[in-house]
Amino acid sequence: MTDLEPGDAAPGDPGIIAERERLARTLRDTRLQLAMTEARLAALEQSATMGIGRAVVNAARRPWPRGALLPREIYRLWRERSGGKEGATLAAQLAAAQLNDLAGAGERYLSALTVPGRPELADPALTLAGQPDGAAGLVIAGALTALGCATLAPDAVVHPLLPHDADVVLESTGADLVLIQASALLAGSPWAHATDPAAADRGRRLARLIVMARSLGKPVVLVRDVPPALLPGLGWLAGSCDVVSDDGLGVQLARFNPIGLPDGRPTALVYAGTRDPREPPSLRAVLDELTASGDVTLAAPRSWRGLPELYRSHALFLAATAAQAREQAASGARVAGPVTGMPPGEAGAALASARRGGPPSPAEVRASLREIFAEHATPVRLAALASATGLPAGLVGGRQITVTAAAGSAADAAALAASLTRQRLRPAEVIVSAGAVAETAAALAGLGDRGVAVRVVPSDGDMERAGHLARLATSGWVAPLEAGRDYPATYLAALACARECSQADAVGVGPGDYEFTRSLVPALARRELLGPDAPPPGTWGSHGLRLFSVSGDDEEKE
Amino acid sequence: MAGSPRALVYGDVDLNLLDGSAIWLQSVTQALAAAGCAVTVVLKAPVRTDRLIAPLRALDGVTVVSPHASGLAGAEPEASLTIARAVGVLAAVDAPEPFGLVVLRGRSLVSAAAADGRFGGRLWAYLTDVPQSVPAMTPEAAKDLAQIAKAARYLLCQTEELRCFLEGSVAEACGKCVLLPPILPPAGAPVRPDKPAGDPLRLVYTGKFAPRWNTLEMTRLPGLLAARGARAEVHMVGDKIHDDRSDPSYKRRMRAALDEITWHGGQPRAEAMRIAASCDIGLSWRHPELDASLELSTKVLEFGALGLPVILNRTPMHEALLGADYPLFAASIDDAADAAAAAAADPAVFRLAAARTGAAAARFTLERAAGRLREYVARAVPAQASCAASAPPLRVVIAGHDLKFFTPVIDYLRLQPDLEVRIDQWAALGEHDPAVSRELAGWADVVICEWCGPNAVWYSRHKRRGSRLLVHLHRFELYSHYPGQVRIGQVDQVICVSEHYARLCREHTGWPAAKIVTVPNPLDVSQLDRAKLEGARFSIGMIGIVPSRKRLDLALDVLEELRRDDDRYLLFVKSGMPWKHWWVWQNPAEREHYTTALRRIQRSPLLRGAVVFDDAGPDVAAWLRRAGFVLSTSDDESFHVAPAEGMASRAVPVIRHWPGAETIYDRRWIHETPADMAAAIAALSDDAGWRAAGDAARAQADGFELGKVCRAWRGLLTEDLAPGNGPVPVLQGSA
Repeated sequence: MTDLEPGDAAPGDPGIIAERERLARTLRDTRLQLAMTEARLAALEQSATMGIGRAVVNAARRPWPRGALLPREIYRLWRERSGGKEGATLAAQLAAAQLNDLAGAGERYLSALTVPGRPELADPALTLAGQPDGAAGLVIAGALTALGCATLAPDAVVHPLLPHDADVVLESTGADLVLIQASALLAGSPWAHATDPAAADRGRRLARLIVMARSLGKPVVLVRDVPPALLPGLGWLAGSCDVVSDDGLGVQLARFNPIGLPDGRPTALVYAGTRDPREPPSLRAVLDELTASGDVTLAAPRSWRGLPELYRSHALFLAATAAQAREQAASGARVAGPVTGMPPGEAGAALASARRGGPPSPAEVRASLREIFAEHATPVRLAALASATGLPAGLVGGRQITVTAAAGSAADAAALAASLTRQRLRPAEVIVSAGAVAETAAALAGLGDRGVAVRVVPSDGDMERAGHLARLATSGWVAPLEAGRDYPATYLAALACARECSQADAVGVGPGDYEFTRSLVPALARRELLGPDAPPPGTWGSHGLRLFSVSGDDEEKE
Repeated sequence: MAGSPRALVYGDVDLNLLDGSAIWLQSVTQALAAAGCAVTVVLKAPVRTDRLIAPLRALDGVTVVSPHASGLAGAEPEASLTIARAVGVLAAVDAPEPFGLVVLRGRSLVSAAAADGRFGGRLWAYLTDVPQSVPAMTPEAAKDLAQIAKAARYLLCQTEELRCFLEGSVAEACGKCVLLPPILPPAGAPVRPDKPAGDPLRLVYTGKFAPRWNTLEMTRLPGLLAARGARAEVHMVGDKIHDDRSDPSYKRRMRAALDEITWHGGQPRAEAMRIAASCDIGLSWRHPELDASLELSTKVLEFGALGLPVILNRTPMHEALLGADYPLFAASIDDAADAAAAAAADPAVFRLAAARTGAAAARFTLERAAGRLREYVARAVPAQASCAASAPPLRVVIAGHDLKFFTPVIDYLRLQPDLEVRIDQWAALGEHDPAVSRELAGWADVVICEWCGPNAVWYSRHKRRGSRLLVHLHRFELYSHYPGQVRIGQVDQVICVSEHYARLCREHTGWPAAKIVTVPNPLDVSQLDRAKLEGARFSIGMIGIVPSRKRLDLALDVLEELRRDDDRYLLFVKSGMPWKHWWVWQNPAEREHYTTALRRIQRSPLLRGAVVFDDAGPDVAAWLRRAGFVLSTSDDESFHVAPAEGMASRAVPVIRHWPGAETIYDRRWIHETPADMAAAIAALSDDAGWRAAGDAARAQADGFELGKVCRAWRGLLTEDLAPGNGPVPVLQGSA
């Protein structure tokens, strides 16, 4: 018998089902108890009391010369007793909290009906972008908003958890990390009010999720993506998580991108947020002034799903926050602001400057996009979270690129190494076929020192054509390069950026610039498409693959 | 004060020291006296100054007992009472003539008094140092609070936030938590006339100087305001500078900063208030770490009572107090400066803020507190029997195996001075001690059989001649064989919970129509009526989904219909799950029903992630704060208390037309199909319409109000109720 399936639940023998339920619950509770005990023990080991106890015991065992130091050591412990242990203390507190009364409302029965895989996103932008990358390595479970799921889904496998099934489902998802979005605790979400004293039941469920994650060895990340005033009870949660990030989930280029910008976009300045009585005083003052004077138009309110379309349909925006400004810039708009926190009087100047600039040129759009890709896109944030939680950065698979090349000589290999060293997006792996394996390997050795995996294989003539190099790749994406050619520093980054925007199966030079096409010369493609058994690139379009064309000019201008 | 309820008051508080807890003890004593109680205050410490005690002694009906002066304090006459000693002293004061209510402040003290056992059922506990977050609520703390709650008549909570947290964390606290917000003493300083901010703008802070109170940052405000073109002064009153271990230089820096502003030093409270009243804006902007507190700052209210607007943190609690659009919320020192500058520049901003703080303060007066306490006393303390009434009390027996639905009525009957109530607790539906029942049947003037089961059969055969027999019939009994065995000639009245069931009862049993009357189930409306949480308008609540006749599947139909157009709607289910009830789960048809429904929840794109199963439990009042609508999709109900509870909470009831629904609920809330139910919900998607409907529902819920229903039962003890004359008709066509 595999997993419990209520439809198959032996109608004649509910006793077996009940016993399995009981055993599963017992196992889970034991695991929780273990995690809580470990947390308490860890806190105890860090506590001043324990330290003093140890110092005294050590001194008693070896009276001299350690004994003479005892008062000083105890004084040091006393001095340090309140410093730097807040996280550990809070974690220990959580481990001591009353969570066991929640032996389960949802239980295994609910989780038995949980459909594995990605959530229903119903995000038009993602529908336009095609299916998310199923090969993404990072698996995230947690308390997530629908927007959070839509943001993460192109770069990770996402399992949104519900209060009633979180601990049980977490056991079976194989998640790499548990992510809690503060915005998922606001009204309108299944986890609404979980840090509100009015919903202590949900708060305990959230605490239990954290403890369960710990018991399974999964790091817990809190993304504080709402103003603290909206969630004053977030303090205990922040103290209970392994990592707290205030940077949000970044800009998801699959949603916010300049693909298919309409011609003749209106150039009136638009503010895309709704006016809110909770605006900070400085923002309120600026918006009051600008909207009253008619300098800025308020866009009609729309849900998060409609924002990419809104941002693409206007050329100029006034942004309240940096996050909003980046999404608008990624969508091809010129942005004045962000005005929150801007000194009085400067907003007008920013506005005038934006108006003077008018609609951004394609080159300006591309420059903004590259900066966002490099610094603020979702994979960047995910890589930072992975790094902060001790997970391998390679789990964020979309930017793991294997470069393949045939090096005719050591000089070609050296040129390739120089070209790749300059790349703003460094490849994860380089696979080179060469006649002179040892010399080529020596020429590429510098890349290895920079963290790039280097593999040199003997050339046998047919190897490149037959896609054998791609077959050896360990990354999901392969960029075939010419060893002797000098590539601009943005070459790989521009390709990866275009791929993230388009969610295409292959990106390459083709007839159009930043648009989908039916044929191209692949510059970056899924590994499988370049393998020995793959159809030839000329037929990809006719098979319905998503092919995205970039002009070669963009890179050359770097 | 003869005949007044007698209150014993003690706080683990030294009334020689002027601090918040001492002011509280003084205020609550004044409020209890104003509520008509004869109050005895026991002092913790020997009297060294009568600054706070003298005003109490001067009050009519207040007696101050000093254990140190009267020899009750024991061997150490100069020491404050320990908690153990205090409990002993209170018991000694209470022993000769037990008090009706015993108001205690301080968790350790209340815990000791609860464990002592001598004040059981009379404790009114005002708990301080209660855990205020999930991690802090350890099993030990929860156990301690549960013991306190069991012993207490009331748990007095300073805020709704604390009340909900306690109820959500400690099941025993449910139904016992009542609000006792801060009590503002009568204004001791002149109230500032309604005038705009002056030039220079005068900002005032009173209290201690500490990092988390942001007092050092506040001293920068004159400079920041100057940069915004406004002249300003900061006035500070107080002399306690926190010695911060993590920031050893704080004290020196704070002290130096005080020399840069107008520092008045430590002042008596009245003088501090006078200084504050002479300024323009109060400062209560604090470090965000303090935002999670479940207690309300009395400082904000005091400024408001003086007519001052206040700059303070935006928190859900402060938004509830002053409105989300209150103009002087601040999250940073720059926000504080911006807000002050806006108030200085725009008289309308200043006036709005002052009006809001003033209105907020007006909700915390002594008179308001006295009114609140008067209600609590009336519901908790037995009324004194009239001296003139010499008739023996009416002897009432309540017999049944499951009295949980009837407990509120029993509590009410027990408070009546002219009744003596005894319980014949049956071990199970048909299991009891005949000897006990026979003795009680011989003793009783009136017997109430809760449920028309074997208890009703037995009493209809064994009741004392001349005594009165009332039978409370709910639902399941009607289709059992028990009614057929009841000797109806011995029964005075059969009480059904709805007119529909009264009719079914008449039809099924053939009993005389005159004997069958209707009294609805009682609701503690005041407990349920609480402010809704943000987002409630799109949250649909459902309480109880077991067994399948509750029709979870139809609730899913409603939700799917709604989410087709608006995915903000969520369904929150508060219920035990079917597999927790073996008698349900062993039935294949029941299992199939839930399996299908749960699979639908997972597979339907419109339902996935939109249904949450919350824990079953008694914290319904707190839970309903998150629900803007309450569904009743059942095939059949005798009453269905869930929509009534929802109405009392200002949720809009959305009721499927199950047979007889219209005899209990207004037709306005009753719909024929899930699509109609969804349409009714969608029609209230605007805030004003939804709130108006919730208010209308709340007004109708008064028909089920506990006092009203209890009074109906009180009347039934001596007189027959005419069929159709119960409290129910209040609802009919009233919307």
